[in-house]
Amino acid sequence: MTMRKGSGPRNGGPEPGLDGGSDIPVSVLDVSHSYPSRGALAFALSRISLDIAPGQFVSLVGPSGCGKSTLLMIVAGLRRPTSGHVEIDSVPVTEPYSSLGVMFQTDQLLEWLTVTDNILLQARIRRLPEGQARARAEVLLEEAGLSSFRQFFPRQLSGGMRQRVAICRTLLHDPRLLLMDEPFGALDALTRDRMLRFLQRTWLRRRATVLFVTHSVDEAVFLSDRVIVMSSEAGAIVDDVPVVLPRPRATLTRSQPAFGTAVARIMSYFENDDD
Amino acid sequence: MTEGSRRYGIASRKEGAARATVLGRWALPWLVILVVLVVWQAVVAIGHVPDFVLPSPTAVLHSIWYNQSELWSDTLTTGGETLAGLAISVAIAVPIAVGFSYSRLLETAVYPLVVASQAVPKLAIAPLFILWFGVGFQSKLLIAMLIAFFPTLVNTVAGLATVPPESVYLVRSMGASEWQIFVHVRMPYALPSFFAGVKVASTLAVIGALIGEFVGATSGLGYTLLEANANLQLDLVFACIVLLSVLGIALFYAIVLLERLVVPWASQRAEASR
Repeated sequence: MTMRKGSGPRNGGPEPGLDGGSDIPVSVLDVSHSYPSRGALAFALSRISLDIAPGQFVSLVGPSGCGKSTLLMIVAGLRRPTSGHVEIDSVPVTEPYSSLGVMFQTDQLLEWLTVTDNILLQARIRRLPEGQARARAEVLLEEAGLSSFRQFFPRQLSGGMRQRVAICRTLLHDPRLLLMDEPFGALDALTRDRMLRFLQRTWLRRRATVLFVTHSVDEAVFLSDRVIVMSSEAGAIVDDVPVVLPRPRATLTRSQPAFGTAVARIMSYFENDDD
Repeated sequence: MTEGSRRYGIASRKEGAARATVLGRWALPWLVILVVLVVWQAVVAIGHVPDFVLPSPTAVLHSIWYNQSELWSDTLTTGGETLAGLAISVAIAVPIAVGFSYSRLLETAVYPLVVASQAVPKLAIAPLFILWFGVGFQSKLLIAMLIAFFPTLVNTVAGLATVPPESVYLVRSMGASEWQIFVHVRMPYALPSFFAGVKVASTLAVIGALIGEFVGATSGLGYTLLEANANLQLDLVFACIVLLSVLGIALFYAIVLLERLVVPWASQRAEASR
């Protein structure tokens, strides 16, 4: 298995690990998820369908408890839907997709591993060649501005640095599908803004298909090609907002009319929540 | 005085305080022990307390020196019983704890029984064990094992329960097998708690071996202690107590040392929060 950079032609089907290859479509087909609650069935998701084009950056926004994290877990193959299914690259999901990168709100760095070893965990679990993985980790650390911290332990780093290490770990095997569950939710506003630009920069280099869950409308519009709005009551999609803004986006992008229009359209769905 | 030098002044005072703390942490306990021993010696000497009531520290030291070969072999016996009992208790407790963490059914079925079994006083079963397994090594090992088993089990179960589900999800998303999840995530998360349990278990194992020797034995520190007590050789009784304490402390710190080697991140965290 060799590490290929960029998006070359894919041959011989999906292979696990450090793969390049073309990006992949994701289809959520009529997915429902319910759980028993006080004797009745509560629906976290009801009959959700969603198509994500290859290389598209799609955000899911909605109030807490709208089922957006559940949907992400189902796409990740970490939770089974009650009905319906998900197809990644036209293959139904039964287990985590082979070229998948997942990020959670908390960085989940292992305290007993150095920064480098935390990033290499991705390669060790996937049994990828050590030398190539190390070289790739070096490149990512450089991009993240963490080269001089490679031998540090997580507890010696700030929250923003820890989350950057988590991003490096997520990207180590150059995954074709990225699933992120509020990865910057625990960071302060300024750090979060830096992380948004860092994520955009690394994503633009090789566009993976991304499903990004957030409760920040600003974050969703800044990063996405499309923002899916979910409602809290039914666990259903209420709108699908395209964001047509040139990339790379920067802080000034927020002052463009299209940005404001998209934010306002999304926010309008949550207006009635507080009365 | 300039702003800079004043700041330096504060810095060096802080350094001094740190040095004093390190010195204090190691030297102060020894100083206290020394004071107690001196007072003890003085009380015995000035009050003309007879040896069969309270032997002086020097008399105890003399007794250790005088009986060194017998006491050494007793220490080896008791130490062997303790160590073997502890080792076997760990070897049994850990797989059970791991089994509990994977099977809710197993935990609900067995854990209450294990907890209930702790209500049975070990001292009450000791005579039975002597009857069943004889006055030799086996019965002591089993009593030590029985006493040491529980803290290791409870702490390992608690440690395995602290594993964040998201960490498991994370490695599972990497396609990890159950074994990889255990080795890379579950076990390291549980280790600090496991060691906390073994530390408690180590002191209990000494007590277990001692109980066994009290009830029926032909050698060991507990046996010699009872013999000496019957003969009113209190210097030898104290000698046995000293050696038992040394045994317990040595075992405890051996485990602390092992813990520092195996889970350095846990002890560093404790150090930092001090």
